[in-house]
Amino acid sequence: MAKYLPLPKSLAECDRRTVQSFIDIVANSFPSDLSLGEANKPINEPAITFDGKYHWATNKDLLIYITDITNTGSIRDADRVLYQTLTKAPEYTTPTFTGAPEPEAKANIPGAATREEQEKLRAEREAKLKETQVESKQAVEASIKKQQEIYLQQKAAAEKLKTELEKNGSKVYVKIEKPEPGENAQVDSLKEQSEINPQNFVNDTAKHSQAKISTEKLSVDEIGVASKQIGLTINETATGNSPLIQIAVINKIASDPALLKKLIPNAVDQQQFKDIVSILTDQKTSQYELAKAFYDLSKVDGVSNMKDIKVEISSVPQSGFKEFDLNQQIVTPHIESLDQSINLAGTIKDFSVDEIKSQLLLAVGKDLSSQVAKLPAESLAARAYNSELVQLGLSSIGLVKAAPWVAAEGSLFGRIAVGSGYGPLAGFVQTKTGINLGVKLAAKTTVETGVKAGASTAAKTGAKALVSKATAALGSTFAPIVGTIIGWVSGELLVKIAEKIPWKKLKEYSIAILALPVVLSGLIFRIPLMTMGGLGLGAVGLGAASGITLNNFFRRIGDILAALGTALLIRIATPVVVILLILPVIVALILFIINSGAYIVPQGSLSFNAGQTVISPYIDVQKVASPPGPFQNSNLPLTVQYQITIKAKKGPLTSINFLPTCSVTKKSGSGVCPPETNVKAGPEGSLKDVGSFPPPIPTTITPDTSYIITYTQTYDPGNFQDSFVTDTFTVKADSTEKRGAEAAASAGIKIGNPPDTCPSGWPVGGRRMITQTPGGSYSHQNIEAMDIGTLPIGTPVHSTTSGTATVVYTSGPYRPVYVDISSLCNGKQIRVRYAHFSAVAVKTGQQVVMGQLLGASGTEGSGPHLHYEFIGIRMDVPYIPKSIPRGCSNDTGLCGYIP
Amino acid sequence: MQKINFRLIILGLVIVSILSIIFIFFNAQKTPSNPEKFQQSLNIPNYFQGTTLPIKNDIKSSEFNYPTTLPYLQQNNLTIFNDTTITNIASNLGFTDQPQIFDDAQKGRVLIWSGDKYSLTVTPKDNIIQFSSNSTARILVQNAIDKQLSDSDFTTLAEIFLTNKINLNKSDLKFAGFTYYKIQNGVEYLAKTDKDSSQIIQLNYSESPSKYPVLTTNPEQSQISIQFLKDGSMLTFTANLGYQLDESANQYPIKNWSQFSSEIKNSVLVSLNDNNVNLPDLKASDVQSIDINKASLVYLLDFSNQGVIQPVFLLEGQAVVVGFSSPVNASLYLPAFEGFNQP
Repeated sequence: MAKYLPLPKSLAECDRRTVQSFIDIVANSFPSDLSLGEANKPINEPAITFDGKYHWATNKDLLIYITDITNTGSIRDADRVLYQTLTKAPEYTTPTFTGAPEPEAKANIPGAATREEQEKLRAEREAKLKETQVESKQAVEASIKKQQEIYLQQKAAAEKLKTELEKNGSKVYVKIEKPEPGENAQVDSLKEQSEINPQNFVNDTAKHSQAKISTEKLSVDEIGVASKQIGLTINETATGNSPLIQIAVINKIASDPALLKKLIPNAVDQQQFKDIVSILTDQKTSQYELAKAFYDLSKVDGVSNMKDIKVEISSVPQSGFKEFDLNQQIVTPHIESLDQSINLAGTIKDFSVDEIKSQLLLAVGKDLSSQVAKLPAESLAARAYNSELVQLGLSSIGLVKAAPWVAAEGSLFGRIAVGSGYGPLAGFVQTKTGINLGVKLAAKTTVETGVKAGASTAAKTGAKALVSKATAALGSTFAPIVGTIIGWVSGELLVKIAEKIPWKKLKEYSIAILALPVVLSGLIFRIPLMTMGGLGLGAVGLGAASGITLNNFFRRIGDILAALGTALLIRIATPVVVILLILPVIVALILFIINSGAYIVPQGSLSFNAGQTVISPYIDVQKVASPPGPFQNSNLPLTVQYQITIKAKKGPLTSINFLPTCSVTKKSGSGVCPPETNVKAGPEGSLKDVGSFPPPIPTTITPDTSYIITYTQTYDPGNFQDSFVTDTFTVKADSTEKRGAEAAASAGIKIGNPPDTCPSGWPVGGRRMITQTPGGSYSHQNIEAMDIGTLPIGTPVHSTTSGTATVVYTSGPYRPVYVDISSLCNGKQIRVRYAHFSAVAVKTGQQVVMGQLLGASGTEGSGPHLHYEFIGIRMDVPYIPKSIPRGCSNDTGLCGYIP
Repeated sequence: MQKINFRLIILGLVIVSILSIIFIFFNAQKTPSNPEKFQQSLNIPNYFQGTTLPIKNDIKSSEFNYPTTLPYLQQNNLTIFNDTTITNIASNLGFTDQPQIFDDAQKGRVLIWSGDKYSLTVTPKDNIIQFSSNSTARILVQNAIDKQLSDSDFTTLAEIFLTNKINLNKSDLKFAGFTYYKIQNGVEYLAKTDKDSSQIIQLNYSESPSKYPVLTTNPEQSQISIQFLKDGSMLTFTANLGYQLDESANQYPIKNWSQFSSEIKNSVLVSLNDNNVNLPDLKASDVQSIDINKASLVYLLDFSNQGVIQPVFLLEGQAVVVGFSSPVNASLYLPAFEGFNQP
């Protein structure tokens, strides 16, 4: 008789108790995926329901079963379906009285005419939406097709290269010198097992990794795939072919011009080869980083960093040199990756946003499984494979605490995608859809502009730079250590600062200072004794400066009290006790204030600058116009010089990108900015004419030297009378501490009398979802307001008018703080309201100009968004840049987007 | 002329002095021990200053059962909300990179970490910390399954979070009750509701030894508040941290029934329609009546308290307001210490 019941094939077969038992085991096995519980159970553990009726060989089987039976893709979704099934079960449908729906406040219900208008608008909106959806789908398909074409071009180029190499000889010979690891019997045994049965070794390593990774907040799928990748990397390391060694070899080959010329005479093919090496370097770097986060690989092969590896290359066989086939090791894997990407890209258009990540993960998982399956499954030696020795060996190289995953490196998922060769495709998806896959690509140009642009990356940097790029990327693995050191240094510094504060004097002053309020309160409340006490206290405070200690002071007070009679003691004791009670509090308060001043506001802390639009801890961008204006129409034609200053605040900036934008606001609507002339750029002190704008992008910007760009624009009388010109310059770059950092600055000039007292433009930059429009049912029934969602807390908010600011900190609906800018628009007094700030840059009564930074966006507690409201005018074109559907409330994009 | 008897005079003076001392001593003993009145002012934003709102007291004298004296709360053992403390909390919450730093015109530095799922905002000057979901409550509520979690389950979840992530001592935390919310059209924030129809469960805590809760100028916001969805995941956490509260050694007289009744007209309106009406936009004449039917004692954390936190009466009732077809909930504060009429 079977010990466990056969598993139901569908939820329809399950009774309430069965569903409940599934809910319980899911909660027990995957707590961290479901709420705030601790880590999930290891994936290889068997699972049995609490009632002992159902059994799965592993938690993975449980996961597959539960997601299958619920027809879902994740344990969280599966859990939801199980609960829904449970509540639908007959036992739970006992009749209950359902009260009438709660009436909404009358003020929230629009009138019949308004409703009709809203219905009409809704119909129009839906038609528009359908049209937009069709257009969007077509755009997505076209974009994917284009990307597939790029991959096909890359594949054709790679195949041509392969043929070229076959013709000229694709084999070279390499000699690798590296330090040997210290003696460690467990590691030796580990290496031995990897030789005996590589497939078992990888599977066992993956299982061991799963237990370690489970401490991270990751999905089960992500853990499974990451573990497999780690297993493969450790196997490669144990067999002397770690990703670091592979990086060293391929980059050594790519940086040997003589060898390249011999094997690949054609310059274009050479560049193609370097590009492939660049992509492969990223891939191998990611593989290494992933394993390195959980295991000390240097204990296995003795290699801690790239500098440990010396590679010699020969075009002919030599003693001590191993054969290395360029086609087999470099070009063919690249072609295979392209094939996979082409196939997956073809299916992406059918996936929903939520599915893309899981589909990508699935593809990566399949490829890794296929790699594992290709490894020898049978024992290659006479010796028997021993799983326990593998576990022991892995424990000896496992880090006590897995390194926290560094955000700057992209997410763990991103590294898995890049490590598996799907980096370019994942980057493409991320760029085009806005889904954050956590992919940070070094070879991103191949995604954006195809073969030619991709080639330019490597062409600019050269093979040597590739090695240094890989080294830099690997170096960032140690960012937490660097962070710790910085933290320690800062801590030491604080201690030093604390030591420098004259604490003794401070205490003495505190006592003297304390005396003053005591004396004053004594006088005010006519308590002579208290006044005397205060004076005495002041005297003691001053006396303390000449050597009388605080202890003596208290002792004396005690002596005085003891000397006085009981009756008077009561009268005296009260103020004295009050003094004694408040003394420590006030001393602590004074210490706190002074102490705070010592380190709560560090030097260089950021402050709002009217010109800065996106503030970054890593990049500083300033933009100024000279002369700054304002100008009269009679000043036209007018030439203004702009200067942009870019500084690295922390580590050097690399992978830099410039994004300039310019807008013109005038009575007749928007205008076109004049062309940029006299463009100069370069490090401070050595600016050169560069001709075009934006100027060529520098390879790096270091913290020591600012990078300056200057240019001029000439405003003619025909186009720029009564206009407001706003230029914004955005810099995106990788810093040592963070990849993809972004900062921006704006400079605006006012000519004549532009309509800057009426709203114009959007208050926030970037593409943002509108979640509610005027008349929206969520909360805008009777107000001219829109909610701009998908707005990370801290997004800079700019004024769309010039006027006077009123700042209100509140616990009401516009909490925690809102800003009203009052102005006279076309003779009518209006207010533009911006609500839910997390920080505000202006004060009540302050004059604000259009485009000025008002503050940082925040949340009122029900989700981050900016509440943008007009009081006194209708929220429509021309006061907002485009028409928006009125009466719309939707959190999925149906109300449209800005800009 | 008779010679002055100095001995008699001196004797007389001594007797008078002794009698005076005896008189003073006994007189002092007989004087009723009236506690000193509290003198420090309160700072509650009053958007209707200078006008008297039509407040009616529906509370009966028999329902007015409060102590005659109370201590104030003082912020002792001031824990500086320094960068190390903040970084530790940020790290516990999964933020390991550098925050964005803004300089608020009034509140000084504001540090912001924005992650994939949650964001963390810290205002060191006010010791305020907010950890909130990046998704909208509306979507989260729709997707959250009702796991039938008990009050005890939510309390456990909250305490795990407060102790493990925010580094608070469990022994310092005093649970101050649940507040229930739901998503409702027509309001900018959430709507208060009862337990059965709730979608969001708020747990309120304070670090106070008093049996009375510590509220902020928002009467729905305690010193520490944490909101959960029905599936046990967190929506927001907001707290004013960095210090512990101790009761003052002295007790101060609280308004008696007569003073309460006569001064209730001076109480400050702080919330209408569960905080969903923007009071600065409202004219005093829009508030047609406020009927108070409940009073409770709370301590008010007004953020400019200079280390002293006073008790206030939290008055609750219904208000008739222009633009609303039916009465809406109203909350008001009235300083509890005797002698304060108008904050």
